[in-house]
Amino acid sequence: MPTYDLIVEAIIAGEENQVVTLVNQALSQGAEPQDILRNGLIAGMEIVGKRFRGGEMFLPEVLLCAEVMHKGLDIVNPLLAKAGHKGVGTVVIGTVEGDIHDIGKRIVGLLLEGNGFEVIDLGVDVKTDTFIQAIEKHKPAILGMSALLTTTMPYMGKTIDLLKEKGLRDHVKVIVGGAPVSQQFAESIGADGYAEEAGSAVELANKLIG
Amino acid sequence: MRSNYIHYGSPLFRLLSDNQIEEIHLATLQILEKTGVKFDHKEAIEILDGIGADVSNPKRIKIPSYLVEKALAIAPKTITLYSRDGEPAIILNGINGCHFGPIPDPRKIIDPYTSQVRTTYVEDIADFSRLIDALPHMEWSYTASANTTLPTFPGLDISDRVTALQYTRNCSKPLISEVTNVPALKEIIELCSVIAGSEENLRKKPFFSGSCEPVTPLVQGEDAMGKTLLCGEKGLPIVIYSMPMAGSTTPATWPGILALANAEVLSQMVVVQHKYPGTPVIYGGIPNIMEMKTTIFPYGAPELSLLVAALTEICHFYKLPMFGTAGCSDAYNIGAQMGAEVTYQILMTALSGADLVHDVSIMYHGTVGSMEQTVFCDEIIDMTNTCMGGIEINDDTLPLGLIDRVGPQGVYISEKHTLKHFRKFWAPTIFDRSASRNENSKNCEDLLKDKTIRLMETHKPKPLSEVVSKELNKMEKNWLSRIGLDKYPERPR
Repeated sequence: MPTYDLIVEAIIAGEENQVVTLVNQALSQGAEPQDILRNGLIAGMEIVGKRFRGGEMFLPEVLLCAEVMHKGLDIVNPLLAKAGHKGVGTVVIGTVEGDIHDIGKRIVGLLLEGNGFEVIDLGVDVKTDTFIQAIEKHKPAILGMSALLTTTMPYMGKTIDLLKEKGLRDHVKVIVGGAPVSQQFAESIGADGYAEEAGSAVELANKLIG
Repeated sequence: MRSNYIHYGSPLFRLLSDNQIEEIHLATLQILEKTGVKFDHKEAIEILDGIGADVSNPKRIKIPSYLVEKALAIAPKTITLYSRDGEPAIILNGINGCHFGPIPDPRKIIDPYTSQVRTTYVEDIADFSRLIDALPHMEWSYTASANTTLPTFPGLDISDRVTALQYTRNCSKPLISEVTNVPALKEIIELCSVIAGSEENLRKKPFFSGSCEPVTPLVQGEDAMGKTLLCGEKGLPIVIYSMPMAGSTTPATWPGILALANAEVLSQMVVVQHKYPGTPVIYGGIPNIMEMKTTIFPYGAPELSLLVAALTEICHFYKLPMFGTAGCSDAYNIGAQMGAEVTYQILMTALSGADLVHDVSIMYHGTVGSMEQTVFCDEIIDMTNTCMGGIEINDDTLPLGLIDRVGPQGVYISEKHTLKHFRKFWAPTIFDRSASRNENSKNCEDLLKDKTIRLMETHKPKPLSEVVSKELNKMEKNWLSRIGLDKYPERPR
């Protein structure tokens, strides 16, 4: 539908006013909020994500698009909730115990939000128990853990073990990242995925929620 | 006899005027006083409270300017690093110029035999250390804890100790260690004390310095502060440096990133100089951009050179020695990108004069290292030296008598004066200067590979004494047993 294409273009261009106008217009023309979400807002961010991964767009531009997308999301979300529709998904993220580095995780969080996920950021130095409590409370589709140190990386494995112990392992997909982390390490601890940088983290998250 | 004559012993280079340095200094004081710094270390917070900082919110501890000025006045302005065997090796005083140091333990290396990127094994760290020992322009090393072949556990990664051991066994040049945590730093100090003969000997003639990293923006982690205080307690040098990324962890504009980098060093300085006055602190920083297409920290970016040079000027304004960075590349192979990036960096750092220049050998956003790159950098440093010594004018260098005698249309090639002076012309060891090519002619890349392998295979470093070796072997066994191994994973051949 033409309106959706215009929403997509407005998101790619980072035009906040345009997005708001077009979303309201679409609603007044009888479009379903979940169609606006999928075919307008998320579709726009998918193209942005593709261009970012292809080296055609820069991160600050992507984050501007994400912010603009959120203005549209702010309009459709209450309508979706009212109609009982689920959002894209919830992600809990945090930097593991003993580690206070978080810029990479913050960027991943911003990009996930930009792609329609609800992101609960537990911050840094997050104890394994805290991760578990957050999963029990928020029931996220994905748990993302970050570490920058070789001495704190092992806490990722401990968290996954604790998830198994508590019978929660099958309820959530676990993804990991950070400078010392690798695909090999992720597999050795039984994570569901590893992303080398923020752009591919979003791609991975989208893939995992199917 | 000369009167009122100025001779420049090196090129003169300035990025920031005196006014500008002062402006950034004052802005830093404002950040410390009004914005504040987050401290996680309990004792540091108590110290700051005791000396007049506002610690009512530990996430924004406000440090009054007079504390900073006091700490700067107390900090030593000359720090001497010694060789492993107790000889003075590097004098850090902001005046002595650049001293370059590679990293012998990158996560991956470019295998000099196969040119392929592969995992670094412990044997490679020994080989790399031996190479560093052989290179005339590599004066020290920065060791990390990046080895991935050794299993890690929560709070325990012995790779930093293993690396320090491989290095000290194969190279007698000074060592600065990026250590995993405070307990690990204690053990490395023990290792170095065994080599020095005692902790007291190590303190008197330090061949080792610790290293720690504040987290940008404005966070002093418990571990970072803990390492500095431990070095303070032991009277050992410590490098304090952060890796701010413009547009990501700092403003995207240069004065903003410089002020934050500055604040991050000075805030630790206040604490350690109060508790252990006179602690030898080596001021450092790797301010850089964040690559906005791929989010990496691009070691090869020209902005890194610009910002490290500017930070060097700020550091030298405080009369402290500077820990900088050069000789790095974002390339994944030995080729044009590597050549361009390392040369640009080495020249920029030579001009701006950071005292200790680390990461010489790093590639692919800090994840790969290369012995060949290190040898290449050694050559570039040698080449750069040619332009760093100034031009002396005297009767011998400006030989008017000779010029008159040889006269118009004369020839200088067979003159004794030429014979006396021509050896000062720079002679490359890995660049092609042949007049004609034949089937045996080699390009730079081949000459570089040959030289790297030859040095690695033939250089014999001075060994440690038997007594010391025995003691270190015991320590090594202990570390390995803690991670459930009785020997290192073998390098596949």
